[in-house]
Amino acid sequence: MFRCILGCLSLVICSLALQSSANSNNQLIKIAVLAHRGHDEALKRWSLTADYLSKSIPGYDFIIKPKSLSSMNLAVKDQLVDFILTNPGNYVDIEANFGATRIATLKVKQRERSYTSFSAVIFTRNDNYQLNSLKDLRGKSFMAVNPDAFGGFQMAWLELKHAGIDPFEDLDSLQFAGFPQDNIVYAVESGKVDAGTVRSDTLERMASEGAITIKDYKILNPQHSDNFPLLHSTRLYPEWPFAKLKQTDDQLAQKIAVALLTMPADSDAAVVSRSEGWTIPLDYTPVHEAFKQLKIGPYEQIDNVTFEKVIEQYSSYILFVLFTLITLNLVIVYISRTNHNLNLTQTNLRTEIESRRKAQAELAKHRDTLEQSVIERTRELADLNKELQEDIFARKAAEASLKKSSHTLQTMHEITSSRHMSFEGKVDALLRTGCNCFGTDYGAFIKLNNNHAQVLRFVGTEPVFKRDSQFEKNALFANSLSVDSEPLIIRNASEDAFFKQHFQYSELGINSYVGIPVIVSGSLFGSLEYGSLNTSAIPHSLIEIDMLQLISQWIGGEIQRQKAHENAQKHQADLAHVARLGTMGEMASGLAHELNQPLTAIVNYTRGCVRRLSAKSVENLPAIVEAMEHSCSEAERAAEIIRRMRELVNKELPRQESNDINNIIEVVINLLKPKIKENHVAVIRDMAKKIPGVYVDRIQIEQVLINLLNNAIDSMQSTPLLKREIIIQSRYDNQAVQVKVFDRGSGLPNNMRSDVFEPFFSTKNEGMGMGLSISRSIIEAHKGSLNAEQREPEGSIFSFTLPSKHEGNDE
Amino acid sequence: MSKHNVYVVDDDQAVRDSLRWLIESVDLNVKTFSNGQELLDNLDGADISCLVLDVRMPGISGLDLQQRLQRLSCKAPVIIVTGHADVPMAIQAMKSGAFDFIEKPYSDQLLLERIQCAIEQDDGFKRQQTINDEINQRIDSLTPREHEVMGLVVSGHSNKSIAKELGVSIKTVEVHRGNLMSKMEAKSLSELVRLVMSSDRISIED
Repeated sequence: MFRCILGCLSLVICSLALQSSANSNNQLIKIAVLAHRGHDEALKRWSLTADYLSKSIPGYDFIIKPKSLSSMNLAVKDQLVDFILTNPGNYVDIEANFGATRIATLKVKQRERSYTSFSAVIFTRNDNYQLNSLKDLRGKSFMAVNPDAFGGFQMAWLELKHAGIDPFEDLDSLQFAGFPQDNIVYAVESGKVDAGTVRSDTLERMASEGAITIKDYKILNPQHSDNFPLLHSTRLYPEWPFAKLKQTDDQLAQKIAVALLTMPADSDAAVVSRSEGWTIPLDYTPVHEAFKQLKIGPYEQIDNVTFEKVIEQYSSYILFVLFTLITLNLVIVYISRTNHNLNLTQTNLRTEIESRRKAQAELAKHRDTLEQSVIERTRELADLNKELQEDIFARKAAEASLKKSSHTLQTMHEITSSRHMSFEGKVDALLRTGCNCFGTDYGAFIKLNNNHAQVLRFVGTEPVFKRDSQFEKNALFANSLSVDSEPLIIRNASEDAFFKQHFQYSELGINSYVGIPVIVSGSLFGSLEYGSLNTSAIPHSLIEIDMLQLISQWIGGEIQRQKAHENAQKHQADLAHVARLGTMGEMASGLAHELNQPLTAIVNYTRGCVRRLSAKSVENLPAIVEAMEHSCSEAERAAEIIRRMRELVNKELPRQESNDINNIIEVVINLLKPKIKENHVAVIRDMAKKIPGVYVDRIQIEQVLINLLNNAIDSMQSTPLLKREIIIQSRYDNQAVQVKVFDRGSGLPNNMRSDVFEPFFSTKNEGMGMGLSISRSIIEAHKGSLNAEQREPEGSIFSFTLPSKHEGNDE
Repeated sequence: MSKHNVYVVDDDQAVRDSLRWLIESVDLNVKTFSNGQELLDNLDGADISCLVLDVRMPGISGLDLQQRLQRLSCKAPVIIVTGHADVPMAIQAMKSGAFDFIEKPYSDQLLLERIQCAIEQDDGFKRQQTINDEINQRIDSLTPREHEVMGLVVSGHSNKSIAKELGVSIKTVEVHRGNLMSKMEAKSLSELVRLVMSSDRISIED
């Protein structure tokens, strides 16, 4: 016993000494160990193995570095450790990612037996008759150690997957209980979950410890393998490997492998690590296979990345190939197109050549025909030329005569359209033109009555007729003229029997004669005649005869127009009179008032006188005389009013004489005084001081003014009293006298301006609509004009012009 | 007494002058105006007994003028003269308080008669006005207490009830009553009542 203690002590001292020396000289080798049950547990389990290696391999000190799954990978990546001791899953991951190589596999000791491989068991309660195979797990609750545990979950996962169950999708619930695995067994036993998975041997261990009874559990998907008597549900996988890393020295690895393989099964290191030492490295392909199928560990992204990675890696090549292909395609398309176009052009050209050839042939044919035609045409032209020359001679002769006629016509036109000549003057001038044109000695315009003929106008070198002289009708050739007779032409009097009957002409020695009827309103009015002492000195061409007829027609038309004008004037005067009567009717009440004023005054004066005189105490005789004087002048005033009224009503023929327009305006204002007063209208006179007389019918112009003033007053019915105002203006501007009447009435809307002069147009309720129409006809009969315009801002302006005395009558 | 003033407004000078001639023949004073505005301008302090207005005048018409005069409290009677026998116009004039309405040409007799009537009416008005002024003067001379007592006296209260009403002795009421009777120059209660009733100052309570 003492020796034993001594031995132990010496061993401890020795090891301490060794350790201290190793600390100073030996190389430190770090072994990373997966600490799936915690840091301390890992140190406790593997420290002796490290010591065993330090002892077995001189010059090296081995230490254990416990690592979790994630820190293990980091340590390997950063080359912080030299060897790893981990579970098969983790090993396979590191082998694939960082190039580790296993050098030994652990021989795990489980209840007096060693195993180099392990498995997982999937189980439920024995009395759960619903669960008999893995497929029955769908929709049930399930418990495992944790998602990364190889024996504690991943092995079962693979089997479930093969059974068509995705544990993350198809189960009712998937719970992870962590270590120790005993908890899972208890959870299943208590019915907390339907089924669970644990590493193989867990159930057997717990049964041997007396915690459970194996019979209470049903193993799902039970497997039977040689040399593996433990209950298990999955295929077998090799136990934990001891592996060297890429950078670790191979010789050291060999030495370690030898040391591990020779580790006695009963050594402390083996016992503490719950193993019987180590064996040669096993095949880890089943683990790889499992990972590949589960798509975890190194195979996690194998599916997702393939196509994109290829694209990424070979993008430049792919692009180049694509580009080449497209370019080639384009070139081919271009070439085939060009080829097609060429073919088309060739066909077209061929067609064109063919048609050209045909056209050429045709052209040649036409050329021959053309030459023939030219020869014929030349011959025709020569003939035509000859005819044309003859024509030109004739044309020239006609032209000369036309020129003469044209000149005469022009003269006639000038005469007839003259504004300065009276009708008689025009007739004389026309007769004279005839004489000049035809070379006759005289021309006369004769009026034919029932039995008499009267010479109205006469011009000539020989005093054949006297103006206004009268003859027996049958003494003249004209006696034989009728409404529709042709011109009477006598060329040689001495040879003409008819001529000799008319002594008038023979006595005077007239030898040639032409006479044309003058027609007025369809009946014979008189004749136009020309004569000459010479024979044949009379018009001979048709044109000349036509011209004479033109003159006679113009004279006839002019006389007809004058008659119509006279009629119209008479008619207009009648109309004006009727309108005046109407106006007087309208003015009657106003005039009655006007007449009442002087009558009232007369009565007052005379009654006043009578009272004073009958009082018999006449004190102031001169005052009475004065009153009587006043009375008389009032009586005269009344008489004047009556006279003016009678004048207006009188129907007299229009009598035009020189009048002062300002005076006419004044008279009219006086006549309208009652109406002006009644309507509270202010009348403003704006008269030109020096104004020539106008040659007018006074009554008619008064009538126009009465009408305009009446309208002006009526138009202001809705104008405020203070604004009612009429301006009467007279002006003279060299040619005409102008009178304007401005009012402030309702004015003239644009569309009515031309209508106001239309007969029967009225804006008044009682108006006949004749006033302005008659006024306009009166003013126009006086050769003036009557106009209306809108006044700004309100009212209207009516104005009329009358020719001044100097111009109106240049008789 | 001086002559009465008749004011004539007519725009026609002949009519105006002849009216003056006629009216003066009955010993009246006549003032003439050619339009309404002229009359209005000369209204201050005028003593008008009768107005003769022509209905149809430029500017202010006769009817307008009549209404304006009323607004100026010119109470002189107005005779409207017109050349139009216009019934509506006559009605309007009478409604507005015209004294009469005469149509032209009128008989001088009728016109002068109407003017005379108008003057008499105006005189009556003026007399009444003078009396009223006198009574009002007497009323104004009363003390407030006397005024109060008078109101109760003419309403028929006895001295006793007046004393009770005013909260004074009968003696005091008798003194007030005596004073007011002498100030009002009334010899009896009935005269006092008549004076108060003709005045427009005091209304008699029931």
